[in-house]
Amino acid sequence: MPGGGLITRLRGLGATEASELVIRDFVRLVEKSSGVQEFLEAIDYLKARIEEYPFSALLVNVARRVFGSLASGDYGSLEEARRIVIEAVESSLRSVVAETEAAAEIAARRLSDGDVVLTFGYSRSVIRSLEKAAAMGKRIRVIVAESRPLLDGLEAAKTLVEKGFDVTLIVDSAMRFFARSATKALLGADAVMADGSVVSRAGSGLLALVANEARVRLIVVAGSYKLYPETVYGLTVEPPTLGDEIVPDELREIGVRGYAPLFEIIPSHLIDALATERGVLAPEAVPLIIREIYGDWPPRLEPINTLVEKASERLIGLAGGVEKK
Amino acid sequence: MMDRDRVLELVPSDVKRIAEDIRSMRIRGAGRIARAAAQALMRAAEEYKGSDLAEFLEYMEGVAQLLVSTRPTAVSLPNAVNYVMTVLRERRYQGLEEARRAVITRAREFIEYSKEALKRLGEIGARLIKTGDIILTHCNSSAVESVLVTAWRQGKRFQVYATETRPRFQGYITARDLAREGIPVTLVPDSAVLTVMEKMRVTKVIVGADTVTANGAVINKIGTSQIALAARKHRITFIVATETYKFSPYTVVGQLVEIEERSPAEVLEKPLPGLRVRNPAFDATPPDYIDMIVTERGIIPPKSAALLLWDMFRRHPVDTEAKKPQVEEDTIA
Repeated sequence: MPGGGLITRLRGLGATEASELVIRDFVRLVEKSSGVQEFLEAIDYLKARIEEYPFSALLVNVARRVFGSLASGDYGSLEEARRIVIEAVESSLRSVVAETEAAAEIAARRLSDGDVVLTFGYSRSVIRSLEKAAAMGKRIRVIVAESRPLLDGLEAAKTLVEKGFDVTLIVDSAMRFFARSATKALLGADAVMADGSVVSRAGSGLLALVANEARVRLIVVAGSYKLYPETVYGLTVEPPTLGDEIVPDELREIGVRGYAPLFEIIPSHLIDALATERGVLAPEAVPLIIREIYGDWPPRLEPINTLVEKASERLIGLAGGVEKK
Repeated sequence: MMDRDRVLELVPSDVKRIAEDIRSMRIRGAGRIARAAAQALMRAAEEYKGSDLAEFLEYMEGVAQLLVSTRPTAVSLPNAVNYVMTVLRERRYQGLEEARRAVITRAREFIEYSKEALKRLGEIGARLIKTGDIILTHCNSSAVESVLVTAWRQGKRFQVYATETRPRFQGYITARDLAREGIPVTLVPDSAVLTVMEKMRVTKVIVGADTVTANGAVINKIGTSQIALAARKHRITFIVATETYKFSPYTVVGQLVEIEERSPAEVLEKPLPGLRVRNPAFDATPPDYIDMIVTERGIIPPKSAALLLWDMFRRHPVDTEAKKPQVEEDTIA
């Protein structure tokens, strides 16, 4: 069962931050790799994290870029390969920040003075949107569900209080109760799929449902690095879950089991708007953004595994070269 | 009517003690409160030392008021009291002794009835359960447990998903009770119900009720209504199991049910400066989202709640004197 390392890191972290940590770890492994073998191990590390956290579009997209440059980039030594990796990562992360900021700016414009925003989980994109709205002089109140089992909503509430927002914390069960007092709902995304559905923390789908029932507009804030282009070709991934670890010992002893999915899919019809750095659009218009980014629809993509194979071959070739010297 | 001091003068000490135990919440749970109140009326009638019928009637009304005032928010309490007092109010007696006997008999009848009710509704509800069912429940309800345990003991085999039920984790009680019966039970976070319904192919949702209103809305633990909404989305049967004495006569005459807000400390142990915490204990599930209500008297569609209420109170619900109905939690712990 997936779990352990990365999932623990998701505790109190947004999708982007958790993925960034993994990417930083990967860069460190690449930097200190003393030979091709360790370089390949670093690649394996990144591949394994993707398998563990398959819904992180950021992780997949950065990996695609890194493996792509290693597969076809211009380098002749391990040192140059390292530099290529670091450049690919740095430029990806720079564009993540830029896209998040631009998407948040656009989402902030959709908020009005006096809005009461209902949210679930921890999303940097959502927090930045609220900050930007506040900076525009809009007074925004926020209602945050604590978001069990990881309690990342509690983290979001703390962060928002530090930033000076008027924040109300509720249990996840109270989302419908408070949906009527909300005027907008805001969510971040782990991934935006080809059909316009959005993957977010388990519980987000319930928020979308209660917002829809109460006729409260739901905006998902996501830079286009959250797009998961492989899903155009039917990729589906099994979301990681927690199990018996959520059950207290005395209940586990008498056979009570536990099940806590960590992600869920919000169908596109429950999302009113997707705020991206390229503009607000209906989630069903995602193919438009894919075309913008990849120059074509459907996007021309080489499978990640193929890229990894090619990259590995070239790196091993490099090792051959080193041995010849 | 007899003034309160005079009633207190006449009332036996064990009746005062029961009233105090209800007031101080030493007696908890809708069913237990109701039975204790009936018991108190029975004792009050038994111990009445006077010989004047008119005085007895005034005294009994006084005791009834005393009892109802101990927990004005628990609907099972006035329901029990009114059930017993009906025999006096409808003058089904001729002399003092006959009136006294009528109260005692009626009170015994109620106590027996309420004990029997759980069993009866368990039997009725169990007929809805099939082998192979995947059942989701929320919070802890003696009525739901009665249904599930009865079905299990009949040899039906099914699985249960129990929500943790924040903030107080009453789902742990449900999980413990069902696991002890041997029923396979899995705890899930409250936020996960939508995914659980889909991935685990939930076939039925069964929850209890704290109060049922005249139009068929069900007041139950916070979170119930969004589970009902999710079940409706997935076209999963949503069943409420409850004894009829949780139907609220006050709502017949237009009173709203007030939702209690509990301490923020239940949600967040250590308060965080600047962070407001809201903790409503219950929510209202609209009748549209409920397929049926299983009671000890039979199954009704929620919008027929008025049928039971009118029937129980003979179209004279209760005196409407500014009683604010709230909710008494039906949890075993």
